[in-house]
Amino acid sequence: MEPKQVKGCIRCVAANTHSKFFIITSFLLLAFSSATFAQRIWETRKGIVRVQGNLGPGYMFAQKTVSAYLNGEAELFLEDKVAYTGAVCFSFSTIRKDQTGVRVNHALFTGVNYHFLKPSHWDPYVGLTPGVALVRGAYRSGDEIKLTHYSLAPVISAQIGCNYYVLSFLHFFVKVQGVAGQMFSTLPAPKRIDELKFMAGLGWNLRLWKPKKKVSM
Amino acid sequence: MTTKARQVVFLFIVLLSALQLRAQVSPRTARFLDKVFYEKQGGTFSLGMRNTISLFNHGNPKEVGTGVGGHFRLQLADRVNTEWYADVLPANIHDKAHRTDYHVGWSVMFYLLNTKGFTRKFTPYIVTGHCFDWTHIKINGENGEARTKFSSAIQAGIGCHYNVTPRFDISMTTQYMFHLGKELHVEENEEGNMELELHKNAGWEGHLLLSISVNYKIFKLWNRNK
Repeated sequence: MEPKQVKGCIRCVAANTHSKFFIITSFLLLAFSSATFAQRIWETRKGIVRVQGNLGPGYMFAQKTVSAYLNGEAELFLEDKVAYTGAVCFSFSTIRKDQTGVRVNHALFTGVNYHFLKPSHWDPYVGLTPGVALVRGAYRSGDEIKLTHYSLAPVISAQIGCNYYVLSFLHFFVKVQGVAGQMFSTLPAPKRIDELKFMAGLGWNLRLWKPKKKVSM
Repeated sequence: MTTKARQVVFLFIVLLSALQLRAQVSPRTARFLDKVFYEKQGGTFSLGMRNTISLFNHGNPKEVGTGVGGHFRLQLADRVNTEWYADVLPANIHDKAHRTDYHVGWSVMFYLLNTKGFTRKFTPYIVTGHCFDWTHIKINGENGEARTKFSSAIQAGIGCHYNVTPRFDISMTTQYMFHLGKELHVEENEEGNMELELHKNAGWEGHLLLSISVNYKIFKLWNRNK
């Protein structure tokens, strides 16, 4: 139950002053941040390299399990809207030792992203990033669970994501990547490694070179 | 005549004959060389990544393979481009065996429409080429039999660039690839076991390849000022 405010009460006056101070400070902070965000981060994205690292989950459709990855990604803007990209995913085993399925699913991807908007804070994109996975699976042989050797599995992959550039060197990102492929190795039957990977976090931007004003092909 | 003088005379003769040969080039060859070295788009080098789908292997629509690869393109003239590629294409065979094809090859693309410096959104083309193929087939399981074969193949088809920007395109190509020579094959015997066989004169067997790629024109090897 809130105490009644009494006219002339010192504690009530102090409380009112505090709330006014809080409102004014918040307003000023918002105004300042809006003014900052209204500025363009950069004139052109060409020459920027964007890097990020994160821990992210995935979902493997064939074995209906959640997967986990340590991801690293770099993207080099060759034009305002076109960037070469490369990513490395280090997987963690998420199935029990007595379970069969994909134990290891490290992957390397490379491709091109297309960014829809001109340089601004928001930066949605799509990309085609073929890759290769280093996989290892567990399978049942009689009563025991055996592991396959490490083997390479080519995977097809496409991704969609969005960056939000906060500062010239910092951005937030969110990305969903679809991967499709299958592993064979010494498994008695092939195993699909189709999955959706989710990533989000904080990334860094660095300008590698400053492009000339007008470039002709 | 001293040895040095002899060398000079020899060099002079070689150079003279080379110059004569250059002068004797037919007008048709000269026009071709002009196209290669002086057309505006000639010399463009681009780099790309591709996803390849093998829609059916040897007549079996269930054996769809998905593969990846990379390539570079070197454009020779406004309407002629070349593609040099390498890809790997695994495919499942009745859940009992698997086949992996490694391709290294090249293709020539002829643009059906004037590219207009790739400012058009769509650029259709016909494509034909040749590749070397290393096939590895293994019956699934720990001790499954495996065999490999090195062969050659030719491919032809149609495709289209979607030019997102003049330098960046997404390309979709459909090609039929014919494997030449003997064919490594898996057969299921009456007992349901798989056996590897080498068929003589496999003829027109092959696979329909659908590839989608992303490409970026990085620089020009020649015609840099055009």
